[in-house]
Amino acid sequence: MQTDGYALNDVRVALHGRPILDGVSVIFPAGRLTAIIGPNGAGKSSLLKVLSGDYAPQRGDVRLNDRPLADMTLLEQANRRAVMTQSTHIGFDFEVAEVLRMGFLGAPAHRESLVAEIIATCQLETLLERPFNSLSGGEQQRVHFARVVIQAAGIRVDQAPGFVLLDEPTANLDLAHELVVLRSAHALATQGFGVIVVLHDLNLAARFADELLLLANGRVVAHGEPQTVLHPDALSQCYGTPVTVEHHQALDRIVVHT
Amino acid sequence: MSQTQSADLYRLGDARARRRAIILVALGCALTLVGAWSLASGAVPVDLSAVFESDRDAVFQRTVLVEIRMPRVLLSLAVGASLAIAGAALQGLFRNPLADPGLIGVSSGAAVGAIAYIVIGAEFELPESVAPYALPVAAVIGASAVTLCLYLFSQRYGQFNILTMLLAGIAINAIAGVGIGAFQYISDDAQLRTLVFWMMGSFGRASWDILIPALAIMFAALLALLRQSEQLDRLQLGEDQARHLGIDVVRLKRNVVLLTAAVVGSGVALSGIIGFIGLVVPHLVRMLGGMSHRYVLPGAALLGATLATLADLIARTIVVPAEVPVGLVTSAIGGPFFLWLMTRVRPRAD
Repeated sequence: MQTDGYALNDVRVALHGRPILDGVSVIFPAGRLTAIIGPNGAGKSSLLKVLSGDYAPQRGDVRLNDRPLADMTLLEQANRRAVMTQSTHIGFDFEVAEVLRMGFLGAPAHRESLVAEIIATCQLETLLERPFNSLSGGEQQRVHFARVVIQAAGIRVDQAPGFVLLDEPTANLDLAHELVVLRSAHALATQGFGVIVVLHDLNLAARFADELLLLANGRVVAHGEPQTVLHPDALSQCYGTPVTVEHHQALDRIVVHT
Repeated sequence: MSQTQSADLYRLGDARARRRAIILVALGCALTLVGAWSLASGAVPVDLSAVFESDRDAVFQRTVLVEIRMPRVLLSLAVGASLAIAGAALQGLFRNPLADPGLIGVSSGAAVGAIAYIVIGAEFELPESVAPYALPVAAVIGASAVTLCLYLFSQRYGQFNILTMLLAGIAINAIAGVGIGAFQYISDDAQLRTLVFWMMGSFGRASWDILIPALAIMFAALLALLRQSEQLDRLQLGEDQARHLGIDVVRLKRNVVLLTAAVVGSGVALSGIIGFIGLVVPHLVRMLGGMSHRYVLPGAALLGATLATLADLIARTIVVPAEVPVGLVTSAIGGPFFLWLMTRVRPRAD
């Protein structure tokens, strides 16, 4: 029987002899939004790079819907999962509309209304004809997010679930657009995608994630529902500073502060 | 509401495609006009409408047209198209509008191969039937050797890194300079004259027997380069990002580099080093109709062919009956343009 999901088994990655990830085993299920959290240098982005195939682990293996990632062609991978990285600059002054179209992997026609919805959600209507490199960092990030969602919309999910990997998608965004992006990401999870997001902001993670993966020093500290992972003692130890976690009555959600 | 927005993305795409098609057709018309003008002009004026008549003057004009001018115009068209499309493809590969076949050492490599043949080729006493092919083959070997070195050198550092390749290009240009200088030093007076003229670039060597093999190589490689354009577009997002969209980046780079070596090598063999076409033309094409390589590559080929032919027309008619090397004309225009371009290229944030 096929197991759906993105699975890491005993993964070790070392750069320049220094281990970045060690003994990481985790399964990211489809239909859930999993946020990867942890202090700087914990290995969050590296973990995402292992999932996207940018880093080949020295030990252990990566499986996408039970197929070893290494056995899949780049096109097969692209037709199964979309990736948003932190880099934003692009060569030459392409227009925003052209950048969005780069997310089309097949014939775009049947996705017309979907694309319109994504453009409207990310509020890119007025930016379509602007040169991409003239946009602000936050605007560029929204365009890349929209491009990745467009790529995901092309994934044929009838046979197996698709995945979306996002590396700090909210890094340069104002608080309104943070919510827009994470709501859209969560909507993808509701549609059946496995969404894996590296997040710095623990409150956003607590609010939007179905599952949290807490990393420290390249190892998994905790993995599970937000209310179990967001434990003040574990967080205080990982981040090296006292962290308080409480349930905010008025907002009716977990709030983390230092 | 959402339907109008969706129409927007697609309507914008259609409008852009239409505008680019019109530009390409216009460039094609310009190419035809300049080609015809160039065939008709020169030390011997040729009346294109009268060459099929049978009087003596027409027969003489026909000979000039068929034996001298047609190969020359064809060569300038092919070399111009090749250098421009090679420039556009390398700029796409390096994600930098300042890249040029000369920059990464491909032209120099071809030059060393060709010069080596000019100076010591006579020693081999090649049979009459093979000799015309030897020069372009020597240049393509030179260009490919450089490309292979760059490739191996860059691979040693794990990734086929663009910055590594640019720096290696600088080093290779310097090494090639030594090779060129050494061959100049051991050449006799007659060879030196050929070398100097050839180093400045000229389409004057064109004749049918040396033209056909080079044209075949250039045409095939040109078509193959056009097929890389969609992937070059996505490469602009970054190498990782292109790979996430399913592009085999290593293979794309290898293809572009090898095809560039083929077109530049066979062009340099016949015409010497003609600078700046690969730099100037893609930039002009982008200013006209935007950045997509599906438009820039064919556009650069058309405009490159037009401008190279025009530059050659200037070079051979400005001081009739003598001529100046066409490389001087292109460099006189291209050098200042390069400086201007450097002031315009935005410094990169990352």
